[in-house]
Amino acid sequence: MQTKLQSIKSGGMLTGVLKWAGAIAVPIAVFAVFLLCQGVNPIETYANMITSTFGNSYGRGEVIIKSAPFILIAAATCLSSKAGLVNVGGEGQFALGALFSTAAAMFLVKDAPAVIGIAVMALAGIAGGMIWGGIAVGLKVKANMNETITTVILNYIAYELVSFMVYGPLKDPDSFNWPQTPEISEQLQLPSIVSGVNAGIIIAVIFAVAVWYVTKKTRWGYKLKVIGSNPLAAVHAGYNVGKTQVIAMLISGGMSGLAGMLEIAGVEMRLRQTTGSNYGYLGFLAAWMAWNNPLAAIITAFIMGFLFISGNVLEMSSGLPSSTVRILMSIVLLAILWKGKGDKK
Amino acid sequence: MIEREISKVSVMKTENLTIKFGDFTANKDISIKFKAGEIHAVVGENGAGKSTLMKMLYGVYKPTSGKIYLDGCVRDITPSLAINSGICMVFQDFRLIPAFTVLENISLAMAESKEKRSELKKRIIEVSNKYNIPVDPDMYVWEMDLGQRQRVEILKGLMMPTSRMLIFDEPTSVLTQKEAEAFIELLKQLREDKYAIVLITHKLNEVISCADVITVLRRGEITDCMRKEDGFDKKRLIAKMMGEETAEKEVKYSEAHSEFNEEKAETNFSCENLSVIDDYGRKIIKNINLEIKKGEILGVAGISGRGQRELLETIFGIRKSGGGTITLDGKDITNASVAKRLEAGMSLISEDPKRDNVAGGMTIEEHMILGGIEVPQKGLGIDWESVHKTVEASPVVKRLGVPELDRTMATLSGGNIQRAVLARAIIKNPKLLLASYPSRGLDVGTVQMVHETLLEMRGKGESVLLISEDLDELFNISDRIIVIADNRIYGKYNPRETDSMRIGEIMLGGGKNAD
Repeated sequence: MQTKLQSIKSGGMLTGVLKWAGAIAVPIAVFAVFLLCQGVNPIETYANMITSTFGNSYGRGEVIIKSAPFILIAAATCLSSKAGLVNVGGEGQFALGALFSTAAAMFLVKDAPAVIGIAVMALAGIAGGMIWGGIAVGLKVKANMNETITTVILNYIAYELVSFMVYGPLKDPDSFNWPQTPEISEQLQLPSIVSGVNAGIIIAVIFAVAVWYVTKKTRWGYKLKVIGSNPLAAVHAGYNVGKTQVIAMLISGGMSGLAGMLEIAGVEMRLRQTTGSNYGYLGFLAAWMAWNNPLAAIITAFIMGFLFISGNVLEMSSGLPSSTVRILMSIVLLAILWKGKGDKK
Repeated sequence: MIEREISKVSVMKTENLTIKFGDFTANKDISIKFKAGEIHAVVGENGAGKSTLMKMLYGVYKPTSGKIYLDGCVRDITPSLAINSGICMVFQDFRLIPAFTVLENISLAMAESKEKRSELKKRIIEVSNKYNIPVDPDMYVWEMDLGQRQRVEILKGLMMPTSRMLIFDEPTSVLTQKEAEAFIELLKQLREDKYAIVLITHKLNEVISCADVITVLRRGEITDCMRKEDGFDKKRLIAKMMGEETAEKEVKYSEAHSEFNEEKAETNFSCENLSVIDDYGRKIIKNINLEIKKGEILGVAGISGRGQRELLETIFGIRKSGGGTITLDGKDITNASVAKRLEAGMSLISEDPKRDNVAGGMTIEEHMILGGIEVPQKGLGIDWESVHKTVEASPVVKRLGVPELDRTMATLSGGNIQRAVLARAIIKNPKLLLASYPSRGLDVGTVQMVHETLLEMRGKGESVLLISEDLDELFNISDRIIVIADNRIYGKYNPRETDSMRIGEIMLGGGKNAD
C-alpha cells in the first residue's frame, strides 16, 4: 500500500490521468480503424453502442445484470491470485454452481418457501464451485499439478457435465426436446429491485469489497500475500502453505459457484448448455486487467459487462457479427495491461 | 612482441564516470584503468558503489556523464559489445539455469559458436584441467552448491574465445577458506596468461595477498589508489574504506570468551542420533549427538555442500529428518511443525535469504513479523503501529544499520537484505539462532556489528549455531567448534586449544585426521 501511494505521488497526478486517457483512447481509435476497413461508420457505431446501453433504463439494467457475475468471478480470481494461484477455472466453477443450484431447486426445495429455498440454492451453488476449485487445488497441493492447467481442463469437463445433465437427467420433459432444465419454481426466482435488476449486483460488490478487506487488512490476508510472493519464505515463517492455498481456492471456487447460482435464480431461471458461457474467462480477464485488485476489478468487470451487451448492438446496427466485440475487448485488455506495466516500473 | 604491446595499453579505462539514480549519486568522477596481466582490486563497504561501477563497465547501466575507453577508443558500452570484446563478468548472483547441466549452460552462453557438444565438452575438461577448476560437465546446476556454481560461471567466461578481461563481483564470499585460496591461485595463473582481472571484494587479506593495484571506493568516490610496488597498508585501507572513526573500533573477542564454562552451563538444545537427509534421500550426515548450552556459540566448520544447509533445515523442521530426536529447552520438538519451533524460540537465517526469507514486494517492516517478532493482533488485522514501535525501539535494528523500514525488499542490495533478515531473526530474542553465513556479503564494519550482536545474544543466555566458511570468524566468536566431514560430525573442539590448521585438516581428511 505504501509503495503504491509513493508511486502515485512520484509519478504525478497528471501522467496518471494521461495514461488512463491513453489506455481508453487507443483501443477506441484502433477499433475505429477496423470498423472503417469494414465499411462501417465508427462514430455512428460507438454512438449506438452507448445509447443502446446507457441511453435507456433497459440497457442500463442489462449492463448491470451482466456485470454482476463478472464482478463476482473477478473478485474470486483476485483472492486466489493473492495466494499465488492462477485460477482460470471461474468458468467451470460457475457452471458447477449453476448445475448444483438448479438441481437443488428441482429436487430439494421445489416447494419450499422463498427464504429457505433460495438459501439452499445458494449453498448448493457455493458447494458446486468449491468442489470444482477443490479438485484443482487438491491436485496442486497433493500431486504438484499446475493449477492453471487443471482449472482450464476442469472447465471443459464442467461444460460436458452440464451438457450431459441438460440432455439427460435434468431435461425438462415439456421442452420439446430442447436441452434445458425446467424453469425453477416462481418463489425461488430472485425478485427485481429496479428495472429488471436483482440483488446479484449488490452481493457481487459486497464480495469484491470483502475480498479487498480480507486481503489488505487481515492477518490471513498478510499470510496470503507472503505465500503469493514467495512460498519458500512462507514455509520458513512456519505457515502451512498448502492448507492456506486450499482455503483460498475453496473460497474462490465458492464465489464463482455463487455467481452461477445467482445467474440461475436471478437471470436465466433454468439451466442451459450455454448458461454463463465465457463468463469465467471474462471475469478472469477483468481481474488481471485490474492487476488483481478487487476494487479496481469492479470497474474492469463493469467495462466487460458493457462491451458484452453492446456487442449485440454491433450486430443489429452495423451488420457485423456480435463476436466482433471480442476484438474490441482484446484491444482494451492489451491497452490496460500496457498501462499497468508502465505503472509497475 | 605482441604481448608487450598489449600490456602497455589499458584494456579498459574510465574518465570522470558519474551515475545518478534520481537525486542519489551512486558513482562520482571515477577515473580508473584496467590493464592486461594485472589484478586490480576494487574495495569498499556495502553500498559504496562497487557493483554499480562494474555494471557500467559491462554496459548494464549507462553513465550519466563521463567516458569509457575500450582499447584506447571511447565506446558506448552495451552488454553485447562487452561480451564480444572479451569482457566477462562473473556476477554475485550467478546467471545459470538450474535445470540445465554444466555443459548445457556453457553451450547456451556460446550459442553463436556452433561448436559441437562433444567438442565443447572436451574443451571444458581441457580448460578446467589447465586452470585446475574441478567441474563435472554433466552435472546439473541445481545439484551444485554455490562454490561449484561459481566455478561453472568462471569456466563459462574462460571458454569464450575472445575473453581477456574478467570481472569478479565478491567471488570468495561463497567459498570456504581452502576454496578461496585455490581461487586466488587461479587468479594469479590468469594474470600470467595476460588476463585483465578486476576483483570486487571487501576481504582485505585476500586482496593484499594477490592484487597489483587496489582502488578504494567510499560513498561512490575513489578515496585511495595503491600499487603493490609502494606496498599495501591494511590500516590505511580500512580507514579509507570506512572513514577514520569506525575503523578504530574493534570487537574484543578474547574478553568476550572468558566467561563460558562448559560444565556449568545449562543445556539448551540437544539432538540424539539425528540423521540428516539431502535432496536425493541420502543420509548426508549420520547419527549426530550434539548439545548446545545456554550462552554458547557453536561454530560449524566444513567444506561447502557437506550438509550444512540440510543440518539447519532439519533442526528447523523444514526438512524431514532420517531419524533421531531433537530437544529444545527441555521440550521434545522432534515432531513439531516449523510454526511450533518458531514459537518455542528457534530462528533461522538461511544461507540464501533472498530465496528463503524475503518476499520482494513487501517492506522491511512487514518482514519483521515474518517468523520474527510475534504478530500483535488488532481485531482481524495486524497492529502495524505496535510493530513499528517495537522495531524502532530495537537496538539490534539500529546497530545493524537496517535501512528505512518502509523500503521494499526488492529495492535493496544484497547486503541490506542480509541486514534486514538478520534483524528479523534476532529481534525476537530467540533461544536458539540457526545462522548460515550471517556475515556473508557484509562489509567489515557491519560484520563487526554482527559479531557484537551474536556475542551479546550469548551473554543473555541465548544459543547460536553458526555456520561460516570463514575460519577466522568461527575461531573469533565460537565457544566450541564442530566439523562436518565425511558424513559425520567431529568435535566439539575448543578453539582456544586448537588452531585453524587442525580444523582444516579434519575438514579435508575427516576421520583419519580426527582423534
